[in-house]
Amino acid sequence: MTEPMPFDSRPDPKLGAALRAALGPSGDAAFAARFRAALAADTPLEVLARWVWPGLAAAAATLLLAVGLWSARPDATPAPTFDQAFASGGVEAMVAAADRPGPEVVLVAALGESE
Amino acid sequence: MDDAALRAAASRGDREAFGRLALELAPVARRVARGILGSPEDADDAVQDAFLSAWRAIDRYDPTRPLRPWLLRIVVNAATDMLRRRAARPAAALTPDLASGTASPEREAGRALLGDRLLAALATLPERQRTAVVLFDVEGWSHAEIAELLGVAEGTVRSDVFRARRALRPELEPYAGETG
Repeated sequence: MTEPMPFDSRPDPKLGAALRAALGPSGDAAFAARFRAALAADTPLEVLARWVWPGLAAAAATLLLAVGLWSARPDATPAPTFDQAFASGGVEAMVAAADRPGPEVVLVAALGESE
Repeated sequence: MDDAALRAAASRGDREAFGRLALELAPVARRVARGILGSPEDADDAVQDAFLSAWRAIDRYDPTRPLRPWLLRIVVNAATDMLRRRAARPAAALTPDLASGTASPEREAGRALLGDRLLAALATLPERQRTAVVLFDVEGWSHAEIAELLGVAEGTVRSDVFRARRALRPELEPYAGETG
Protein backbone atom coordinates (compact mmCIF):
# COMPACT_ATOMS: atom_id res chain seq x y z
CA MET A 1 0.00 0.00 0.00
CA THR A 2 1.45 3.37 -0.95
CA GLU A 3 2.05 6.00 1.68
CA PRO A 4 -0.46 8.87 1.32
CA MET A 5 1.02 12.13 0.15
CA PRO A 6 0.47 15.13 2.41
CA PHE A 7 -1.18 17.16 -0.34
CA ASP A 8 -3.08 14.41 -2.07
CA SER A 9 -6.35 16.08 -2.99
CA ARG A 10 -8.07 12.92 -4.22
CA PRO A 11 -10.21 10.75 -1.96
CA ASP A 12 -8.86 7.29 -1.21
CA PRO A 13 -11.52 4.94 -2.62
CA LYS A 14 -10.42 1.89 -0.64
CA LEU A 15 -10.27 3.68 2.67
CA GLY A 16 -13.48 5.52 1.84
CA ALA A 17 -15.35 2.32 1.01
CA ALA A 18 -14.10 0.56 4.12
CA LEU A 19 -15.00 3.52 6.34
CA ARG A 20 -18.41 3.87 4.70
CA ALA A 21 -19.14 0.20 5.40
CA ALA A 22 -17.91 0.56 8.98
CA LEU A 23 -19.84 3.73 9.73
CA GLY A 24 -23.10 2.45 8.29
CA PRO A 25 -25.57 3.81 8.93
CA SER A 26 -28.25 1.22 9.41
CA GLY A 27 -31.80 1.79 10.51
CA ASP A 28 -32.53 4.70 8.19
CA ALA A 29 -36.28 4.16 8.41
CA ALA A 30 -36.21 3.95 12.19
CA PHE A 31 -34.17 7.13 12.43
CA ALA A 32 -36.47 8.92 9.99
CA ALA A 33 -39.56 7.91 11.95
CA ARG A 34 -37.99 8.97 15.23
CA PHE A 35 -36.85 12.30 13.83
CA ARG A 36 -40.22 13.06 12.19
CA ALA A 37 -41.99 12.39 15.48
CA ALA A 38 -39.57 14.64 17.37
CA LEU A 39 -39.88 17.38 14.76
CA ALA A 40 -43.67 17.22 14.84
CA ALA A 41 -43.65 17.55 18.63
CA ASP A 42 -41.12 20.37 18.68
CA THR A 43 -42.42 23.91 19.03
CA PRO A 44 -40.04 26.56 17.73
CA LEU A 45 -39.20 29.36 20.14
CA GLU A 46 -40.61 31.99 17.81
CA VAL A 47 -43.98 30.28 17.99
CA LEU A 48 -43.79 30.39 21.77
CA ALA A 49 -42.58 33.98 21.58
CA ARG A 50 -45.58 34.91 19.45
CA TRP A 51 -47.83 33.84 22.35
CA VAL A 52 -45.89 35.59 25.11
CA TRP A 53 -47.42 39.08 24.70
CA PRO A 54 -51.01 37.94 24.10
CA GLY A 55 -50.61 35.61 27.07
CA LEU A 56 -49.29 38.37 29.30
CA ALA A 57 -52.04 40.75 28.14
CA ALA A 58 -54.72 38.16 28.89
CA ALA A 59 -53.24 37.51 32.33
CA ALA A 60 -53.12 41.25 33.08
CA ALA A 61 -56.74 41.73 31.93
CA THR A 62 -57.86 38.83 34.11
CA LEU A 63 -56.01 40.28 37.08
CA LEU A 64 -57.55 43.73 36.57
CA LEU A 65 -61.02 42.23 36.26
CA ALA A 66 -60.53 40.24 39.47
CA VAL A 67 -59.31 43.34 41.36
CA GLY A 68 -62.28 45.35 40.05
CA LEU A 69 -64.77 42.73 41.11
CA TRP A 70 -63.13 42.42 44.53
CA SER A 71 -63.18 46.13 45.22
CA ALA A 72 -66.77 46.51 43.97
CA ARG A 73 -68.21 43.69 46.05
CA PRO A 74 -71.28 44.73 48.17
CA ASP A 75 -69.80 43.88 51.58
CA ALA A 76 -66.80 46.03 51.07
CA THR A 77 -67.78 48.42 53.92
CA PRO A 78 -66.29 47.36 57.26
CA ALA A 79 -68.58 45.77 59.83
CA PRO A 80 -69.59 48.08 62.75
CA THR A 81 -67.95 47.57 66.12
CA PHE A 82 -69.93 45.92 68.91
CA ASP A 83 -70.36 49.26 70.70
CA GLN A 84 -71.78 50.86 67.56
CA ALA A 85 -74.13 47.91 67.09
CA PHE A 86 -75.16 48.02 70.76
CA ALA A 87 -75.87 51.71 70.46
CA SER A 88 -77.98 51.10 67.38
CA GLY A 89 -79.90 48.44 69.32
CA GLY A 90 -80.02 45.81 66.60
CA VAL A 91 -79.38 42.22 67.68
CA GLU A 92 -78.39 41.20 64.17
CA ALA A 93 -75.87 44.06 64.07
CA MET A 94 -74.43 42.96 67.41
CA VAL A 95 -74.02 39.37 66.16
CA ALA A 96 -72.36 40.59 62.97
CA ALA A 97 -70.07 43.10 64.74
CA ALA A 98 -66.38 42.89 63.86
CA ASP A 99 -65.26 42.76 67.51
CA ARG A 100 -68.22 40.96 68.97
CA PRO A 101 -67.61 39.35 72.39
CA GLY A 102 -68.75 35.84 73.35
CA PRO A 103 -72.34 34.69 72.70
CA GLU A 104 -73.35 35.08 76.39
CA VAL A 105 -72.51 38.81 76.26
CA VAL A 106 -74.46 39.25 73.05
CA LEU A 107 -77.36 37.30 74.57
CA VAL A 108 -77.36 39.40 77.76
CA ALA A 109 -77.13 42.60 75.77
CA ALA A 110 -79.92 41.48 73.46
CA LEU A 111 -82.16 40.39 76.39
CA GLY A 112 -81.42 43.59 78.28
CA GLU A 113 -82.31 45.56 75.17
CA SER A 114 -85.57 43.70 74.75
CA GLU A 115 -86.65 44.25 78.37
CA MET B 1 -40.65 21.14 -5.11
CA ASP B 2 -36.96 21.55 -6.02
CA ASP B 3 -34.13 22.00 -3.56
CA ALA B 4 -34.16 25.82 -3.65
CA ALA B 5 -37.91 25.90 -3.11
CA LEU B 6 -37.59 23.46 -0.23
CA ARG B 7 -34.87 25.62 1.31
CA ALA B 8 -36.97 28.74 0.94
CA ALA B 9 -40.00 27.01 2.44
CA ALA B 10 -37.94 25.63 5.31
CA SER B 11 -36.52 29.06 6.06
CA ARG B 12 -40.08 30.40 6.33
CA GLY B 13 -40.84 27.78 8.98
CA ASP B 14 -42.29 25.02 6.79
CA ARG B 15 -41.77 22.02 9.03
CA GLU B 16 -42.41 19.46 6.29
CA ALA B 17 -39.88 21.07 3.96
CA PHE B 18 -37.29 21.21 6.70
CA GLY B 19 -37.93 17.58 7.60
CA ARG B 20 -37.41 16.47 4.00
CA LEU B 21 -34.15 18.39 3.68
CA ALA B 22 -32.85 17.12 7.01
CA LEU B 23 -33.66 13.52 6.17
CA GLU B 24 -31.89 13.83 2.82
CA LEU B 25 -28.77 14.74 4.76
CA ALA B 26 -29.36 12.19 7.51
CA PRO B 27 -27.20 9.33 6.10
CA VAL B 28 -24.19 11.65 5.74
CA ALA B 29 -24.85 13.31 9.08
CA ARG B 30 -25.14 9.97 10.86
CA ARG B 31 -21.89 8.69 9.33
CA VAL B 32 -20.04 11.86 10.28
CA ALA B 33 -21.48 11.80 13.80
CA ARG B 34 -20.59 8.15 14.19
CA GLY B 35 -17.09 8.90 12.96
CA ILE B 36 -16.78 11.44 15.77
CA LEU B 37 -18.62 9.56 18.50
CA GLY B 38 -18.06 5.90 17.71
CA SER B 39 -21.37 4.73 19.11
CA PRO B 40 -24.23 4.58 16.57
CA GLU B 41 -26.79 5.30 19.29
CA ASP B 42 -24.96 8.41 20.48
CA ALA B 43 -24.50 9.46 16.86
CA ASP B 44 -28.24 9.24 16.19
CA ASP B 45 -28.97 11.20 19.36
CA ALA B 46 -26.50 13.89 18.33
CA VAL B 47 -27.89 14.12 14.79
CA GLN B 48 -31.46 14.37 16.02
CA ASP B 49 -30.53 17.02 18.59
CA ALA B 50 -28.64 18.92 15.90
CA PHE B 51 -31.52 18.78 13.43
CA LEU B 52 -33.97 20.01 16.06
CA SER B 53 -31.57 22.80 17.07
CA ALA B 54 -31.33 23.80 13.42
CA TRP B 55 -35.11 23.83 13.13
CA ARG B 56 -35.41 26.09 16.18
CA ALA B 57 -32.81 28.42 14.67
CA ILE B 58 -34.18 28.27 11.14
CA ASP B 59 -34.68 32.06 11.08
CA ARG B 60 -30.88 32.36 11.13
CA TYR B 61 -30.49 30.29 7.97
CA ASP B 62 -29.96 32.20 4.73
CA PRO B 63 -32.00 30.31 2.09
CA THR B 64 -29.82 31.65 -0.72
CA ARG B 65 -26.96 29.53 0.59
CA PRO B 66 -26.78 25.72 0.59
CA LEU B 67 -28.41 24.11 3.57
CA ARG B 68 -26.08 21.09 3.72
CA PRO B 69 -22.97 22.81 5.15
CA TRP B 70 -25.05 24.87 7.58
CA LEU B 71 -26.86 21.82 8.86
CA LEU B 72 -23.78 19.61 8.92
CA ARG B 73 -21.84 22.22 10.88
CA ILE B 74 -24.53 22.02 13.55
CA VAL B 75 -24.29 18.22 13.49
CA VAL B 76 -20.49 18.30 13.87
CA ASN B 77 -20.79 20.77 16.75
CA ALA B 78 -23.45 18.65 18.46
CA ALA B 79 -21.38 15.47 18.09
CA THR B 80 -18.23 17.23 19.31
CA ASP B 81 -20.09 18.66 22.31
CA MET B 82 -21.44 15.21 23.14
CA LEU B 83 -17.96 13.72 22.84
CA ARG B 84 -16.60 16.29 25.28
CA ARG B 85 -19.48 15.81 27.70
CA ARG B 86 -18.89 12.08 27.89
CA ALA B 87 -15.12 12.50 28.24
CA ALA B 88 -15.09 10.08 31.14
CA ARG B 89 -16.47 7.32 28.94
CA PRO B 90 -14.50 5.41 26.27
CA ALA B 91 -14.32 7.25 22.95
CA ALA B 92 -15.87 4.40 21.01
CA ALA B 93 -18.26 1.58 21.71
CA LEU B 94 -15.77 -1.19 21.13
CA THR B 95 -16.78 -4.80 21.29
CA PRO B 96 -15.14 -6.42 24.31
CA ASP B 97 -13.07 -8.86 22.24
CA LEU B 98 -11.68 -6.07 20.09
CA ALA B 99 -10.96 -3.85 23.05
CA SER B 100 -9.00 -6.62 24.72
CA GLY B 101 -7.30 -7.72 21.52
CA THR B 102 -8.54 -11.30 21.90
CA ALA B 103 -10.92 -11.59 18.94
CA SER B 104 -11.58 -15.10 17.73
CA PRO B 105 -9.78 -16.30 14.56
CA GLU B 106 -13.16 -16.61 12.81
CA ARG B 107 -13.98 -12.99 13.44
CA GLU B 108 -10.44 -11.96 12.56
CA ALA B 109 -11.12 -13.41 9.12
CA GLY B 110 -14.37 -11.54 8.64
CA ARG B 111 -14.80 -8.21 6.96
CA ALA B 112 -16.87 -7.07 9.89
CA LEU B 113 -13.72 -6.97 11.93
CA LEU B 114 -12.16 -4.57 9.49
CA GLY B 115 -14.98 -2.19 10.26
CA ASP B 116 -14.47 -2.67 13.97
CA ARG B 117 -10.75 -2.07 13.65
CA LEU B 118 -11.28 1.02 11.54
CA LEU B 119 -13.74 2.43 14.06
CA ALA B 120 -11.33 1.67 16.88
CA ALA B 121 -8.49 3.38 15.01
CA LEU B 122 -10.76 6.30 14.17
CA ALA B 123 -11.60 6.68 17.86
CA THR B 124 -7.94 7.23 18.68
CA LEU B 125 -7.74 10.28 16.40
CA PRO B 126 -8.43 13.88 17.43
CA GLU B 127 -12.04 14.75 16.65
CA ARG B 128 -11.18 17.19 13.86
CA GLN B 129 -9.14 14.54 12.06
CA ARG B 130 -12.06 12.11 12.32
CA THR B 131 -14.43 14.63 10.81
CA ALA B 132 -11.99 15.60 8.08
CA VAL B 133 -11.20 12.08 6.91
CA VAL B 134 -14.84 10.99 6.93
CA LEU B 135 -15.94 14.03 4.96
CA PHE B 136 -13.03 13.76 2.53
CA ASP B 137 -12.70 10.03 1.89
CA VAL B 138 -16.24 8.85 2.60
CA GLU B 139 -18.40 11.80 1.57
CA GLY B 140 -16.17 13.23 -1.15
CA TRP B 141 -16.08 16.78 0.15
CA SER B 142 -13.21 18.99 -0.98
CA HIS B 143 -10.58 20.32 1.40
CA ALA B 144 -12.00 23.80 0.90
CA GLU B 145 -15.54 22.72 1.81
CA ILE B 146 -14.31 20.93 4.91
CA ALA B 147 -12.17 23.92 5.87
CA GLU B 148 -15.20 26.21 5.64
CA LEU B 149 -17.33 23.79 7.63
CA LEU B 150 -14.75 23.39 10.40
CA GLY B 151 -13.64 27.01 10.37
CA VAL B 152 -9.97 26.18 9.81
CA ALA B 153 -7.45 26.79 7.03
CA GLU B 154 -7.49 24.49 4.04
CA GLY B 155 -3.90 23.45 4.79
CA THR B 156 -5.02 22.34 8.23
CA VAL B 157 -7.63 20.08 6.66
CA ARG B 158 -5.03 18.60 4.29
CA SER B 159 -2.81 17.89 7.27
CA ASP B 160 -5.70 16.39 9.24
CA VAL B 161 -6.67 14.08 6.37
CA PHE B 162 -3.07 13.03 5.89
CA ARG B 163 -2.57 12.20 9.55
CA ALA B 164 -5.88 10.37 9.77
CA ARG B 165 -5.09 8.29 6.71
CA ARG B 166 -1.68 7.44 8.10
CA ALA B 167 -3.38 6.09 11.23
CA LEU B 168 -6.17 4.26 9.40
CA ARG B 169 -4.46 2.72 6.40
CA PRO B 170 -2.49 0.09 8.33
CA GLU B 171 -5.85 -1.37 9.40
CA LEU B 172 -6.66 -2.03 5.75
CA GLU B 173 -3.47 -3.88 4.96
CA PRO B 174 -4.50 -7.35 6.22
CA TYR B 175 -7.65 -7.06 4.09
CA ALA B 176 -6.13 -5.42 1.04
CA GLY B 177 -7.51 -8.08 -1.28
CA GLU B 178 -11.05 -7.72 0.07
CA THR B 179 -11.55 -3.96 0.01
CA GLY B 180 -12.25 -1.62 -2.87
